[in-house]
Amino acid sequence: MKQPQHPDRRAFLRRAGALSALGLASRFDALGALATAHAQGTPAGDYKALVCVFMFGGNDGNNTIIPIDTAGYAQYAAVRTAASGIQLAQASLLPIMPLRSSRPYGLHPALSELQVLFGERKLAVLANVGTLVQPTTPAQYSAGVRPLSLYSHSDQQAQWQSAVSNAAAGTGWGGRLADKIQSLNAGSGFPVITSLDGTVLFTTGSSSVPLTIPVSGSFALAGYTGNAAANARLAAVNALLAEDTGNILAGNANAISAQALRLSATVNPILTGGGSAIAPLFSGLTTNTAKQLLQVARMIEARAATGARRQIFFVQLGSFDTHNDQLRRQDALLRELSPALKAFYDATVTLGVASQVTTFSLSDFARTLQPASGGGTDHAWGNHHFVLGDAVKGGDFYGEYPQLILGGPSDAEREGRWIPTSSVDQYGATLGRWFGVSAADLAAVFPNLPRFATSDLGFLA
Amino acid sequence: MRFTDRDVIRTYLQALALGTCAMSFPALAVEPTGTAIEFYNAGLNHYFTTAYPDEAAMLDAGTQVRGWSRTGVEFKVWARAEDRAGSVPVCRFFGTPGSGPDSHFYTANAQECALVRQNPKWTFESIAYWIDLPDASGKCAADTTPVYRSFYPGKTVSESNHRFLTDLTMHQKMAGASILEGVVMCSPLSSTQVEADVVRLLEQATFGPQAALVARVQAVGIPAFLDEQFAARSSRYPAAPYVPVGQQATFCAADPDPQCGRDYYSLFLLQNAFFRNAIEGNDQLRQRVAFALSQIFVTSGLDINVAYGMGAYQQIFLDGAFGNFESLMTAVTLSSVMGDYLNMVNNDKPAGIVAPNENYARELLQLFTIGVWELASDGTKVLDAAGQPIPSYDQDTIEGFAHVFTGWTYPVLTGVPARAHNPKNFLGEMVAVANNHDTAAKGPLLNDITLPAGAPMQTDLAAALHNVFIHRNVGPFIGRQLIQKLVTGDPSPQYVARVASAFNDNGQGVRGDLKAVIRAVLVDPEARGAVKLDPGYGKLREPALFMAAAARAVDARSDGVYFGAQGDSLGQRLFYPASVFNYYPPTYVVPGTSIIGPEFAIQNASTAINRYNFANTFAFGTIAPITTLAGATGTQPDWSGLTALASDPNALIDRLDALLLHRTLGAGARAKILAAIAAVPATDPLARARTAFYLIVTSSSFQVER
Repeated sequence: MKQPQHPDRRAFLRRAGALSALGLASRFDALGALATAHAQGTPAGDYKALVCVFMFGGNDGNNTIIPIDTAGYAQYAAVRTAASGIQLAQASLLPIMPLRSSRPYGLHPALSELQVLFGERKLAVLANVGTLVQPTTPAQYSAGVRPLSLYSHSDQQAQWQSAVSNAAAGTGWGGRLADKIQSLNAGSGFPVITSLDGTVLFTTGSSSVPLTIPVSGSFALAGYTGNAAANARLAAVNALLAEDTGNILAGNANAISAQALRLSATVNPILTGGGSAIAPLFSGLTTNTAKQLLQVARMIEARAATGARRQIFFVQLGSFDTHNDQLRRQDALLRELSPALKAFYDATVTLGVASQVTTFSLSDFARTLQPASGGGTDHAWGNHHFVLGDAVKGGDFYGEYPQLILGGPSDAEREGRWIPTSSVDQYGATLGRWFGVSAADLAAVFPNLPRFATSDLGFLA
Repeated sequence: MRFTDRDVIRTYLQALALGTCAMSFPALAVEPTGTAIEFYNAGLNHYFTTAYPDEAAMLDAGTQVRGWSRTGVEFKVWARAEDRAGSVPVCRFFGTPGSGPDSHFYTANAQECALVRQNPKWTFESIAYWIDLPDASGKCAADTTPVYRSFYPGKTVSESNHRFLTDLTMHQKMAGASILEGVVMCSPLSSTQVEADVVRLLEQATFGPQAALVARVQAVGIPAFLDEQFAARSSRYPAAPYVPVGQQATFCAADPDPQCGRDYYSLFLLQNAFFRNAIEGNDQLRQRVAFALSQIFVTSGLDINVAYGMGAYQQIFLDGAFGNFESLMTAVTLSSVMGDYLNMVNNDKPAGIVAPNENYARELLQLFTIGVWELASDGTKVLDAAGQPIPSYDQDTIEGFAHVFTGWTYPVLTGVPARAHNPKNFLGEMVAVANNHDTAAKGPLLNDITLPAGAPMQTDLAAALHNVFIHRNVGPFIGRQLIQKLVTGDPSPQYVARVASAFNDNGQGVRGDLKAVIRAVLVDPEARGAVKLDPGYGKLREPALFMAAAARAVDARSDGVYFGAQGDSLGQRLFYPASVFNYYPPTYVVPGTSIIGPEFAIQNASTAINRYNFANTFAFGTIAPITTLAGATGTQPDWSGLTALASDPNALIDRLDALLLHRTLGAGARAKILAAIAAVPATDPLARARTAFYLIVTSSSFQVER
């Protein structure tokens, strides 16, 4: 045996496959380290938040925003026939008139609050946006230019969240934005991302680590009454979290728990304390979406306590996969969404941050214009989305509304699966620029952005 | 000439083929008398194993010879020839300074030893220990475990190095840089190792080890225990009465049960039954496999929120857990619950502009059987000439299957005349309505098969399902997920291939025999063994398994109510997954790593806190029977076994370490738990027992099973 050499079990673990368990724990503490590195940050009042509302299952954009001029509605009704069971009557639609359009549109009848916000120019529509590997023509689509596993829920959710449609991605664009901007939170060490729906791809960054808070209830360990035995037990809990078992999964479990215990003292009083000025705005709203957005509003209200200057929130509602019985099911979902968004917007006004908080929607994909048996629709592609807040150049449409013709110039197939005319990359980059991420950093966050004509779709001031 | 020359190996293998001469001496030692301990030197990038305790101590001390640290890898040996009848001496060599490798080499093969002794580049050092040899087919006897040898050639002779491992997962991962030389010795197992492996089996095959069950498996052995489990009588979900969906207010107003809504229009009673059976039932393996299958063929109470429907659906997996996969596919496809959930029910042939519903067609392929990419037999993606994965179907295929799945409606509801679209009813399988079935030729199905026009719809359905069943993806796709659910989240391709092979042929020419698949999953060398040190091995216990295992460890009696109620806060509301994509996806990569850890998709700061709080209530609280449920018993752990040990905290921890962690608790962790126990007065043995239990079950060593 040769001598002397350095013992290095870490190297052994790396050789054996991946990051060591302790390496993971330090990943969760990255912000803690930053907190000591950066003493002072940016000026007081510098605060911005992005709020992502993900509609899981694929919201049917074709019944969310419909042209209501005679010719436009006729196109719609020629496919979504009365007999199909998924037609929204022209008279039931809530009219909106985009500023730069000569064509009136109607919102789904469940979106009355959003109709008002659109009229007040707080809400914009981004039409026919979706996952793209590059700007795509029908001919290119037919030749195979398309995102991986198009029309699959899991893959399209992942691509909407990663903004990478030509490869599997390990991080999401929310997480990557957080990576780039987390130094602004260094003073407090509070995570940039707070999720109400666990760790999804959107929230996963390379160096930033998201926090998940509960939709309701406390965020604190129970059973610690302060006696000697309990104190010793709590000390053991914390000490055990620092034990390296050499197993990466165990290290990750420890890191998650350690983050929870570290932030519990800050977060639990925010979620369980009284005296919130904005909670009354949500009174009477009992839906899960409203509860999530109330938690977001509470966290924004308590931004002085968290010390966060940049925050990204992830909120979700599900069951948009309306293969059947769509009229009833989508109506219930949008009726949950619309008043919750209004209450949340009002909360940002009350808190004086309406121009500093931008809320936006994402979803797996749109749904076929062609009806499916059972009064529903199948998986499609390009979709319409909402952007809300005082920084939004609202009351207007961005992007290009598709031609509602089966097999027509907008259709990738024969059933009304629109080829997107704006990409997730562009959508995200527009939000990211507003959020304060530099052009150079945006290029890293959205690696395929240069493939598209513009990096700013113009819907934010 | 190096000893690894092919000639030498061939000679060695030929020698093995001739068989070894079994000599019979009385065994003098019951337990293995030595331990080979592996060290690693990062500077040299060399592994070194020694069975000499003084040499190990010298390396641990790091003063005489520096740079070596333990890897955790150990295997048992015989310190003397007379300890074990039939054991053979193991020659230890060191590379001759100046000419040979800067490395040690061991061989148990007499012929190889003699050859290497003649090689001037190697210097014989000693007979290091004694050990068993594999039989002519390379197999080790039941009371031993294989030792695998790999050779790292390096760029120069001095870089070359051998490694000896009993963990096949780690051995396989040496491939690439190293040459895998296979089984070279058979290491004796200590009784502690045998017990630890039994406990690990029970973590994988049941809802959690219990002392009595550990004893049972040790008495009959693992294969016989699996046979017992295959034969055990199936538990059942309670039958609930038909209730009209969507009419809860009307129906319950007239129903005598004051809890009508909870009992019939929610899955409360099923959740209770699940946990009651999981904690106390005898058909443990069947229940584990059924739970796994129900997370592949997913339906959700978010849509099917009536107990009579979901109970019948979940029963499919208890009934079919050990049957044939094609039968299971068929039962699921015809289930009125699945029909309702994924809209195969009342899916009619093309009518004007309305197309057949694609939902069931798509998810059957994507989630239940083959996945979106063409797979090799080991579950890895097949790549095309450009290095890209190949889709296993396209949109046209989906539409082909969507047309096949037309014409089925709910079973006839008693008292309502049969119609083309019967009213919603989950009592029985869907029924055929020929007039709503597309009778044209249908396709393309998989492998560009087209079904001929005009066949009866049952024939079409069977043909389409068989078309899926025989696709080569099914074995690796399903086998991999069963490994993930039962054993480890990121299995090696080799492990997947072995299980897929059992799927493809159970040994009697039958494809899809789930019993053979389950056996292959559980007896595989990558499942078995006392200790697993690969850093990516194992899985986070999902909430249902975490809770049930904690309860079983202290022989709790329970009506299941408390456990069912915890699901929301732990991220797994039982029977209510968010979508057909289950509570978590099988592909989830733990952030910041390259390790697949599906259950981590539902683990986060909020659920982590709630895991502690579950343990707090379970260990320190009282779980009383609820008053609104007839026959409720609450949950009662039996602390007597642990309390009896509380005067000796180390013994208390030993018991929990053996039963809950198969003796993987580290010295550092033990010290921390001891300190917490010491803070509880010895006069309160129950509080000591509860403290130790709480700290063990909340530790990552228990949360992550490996």
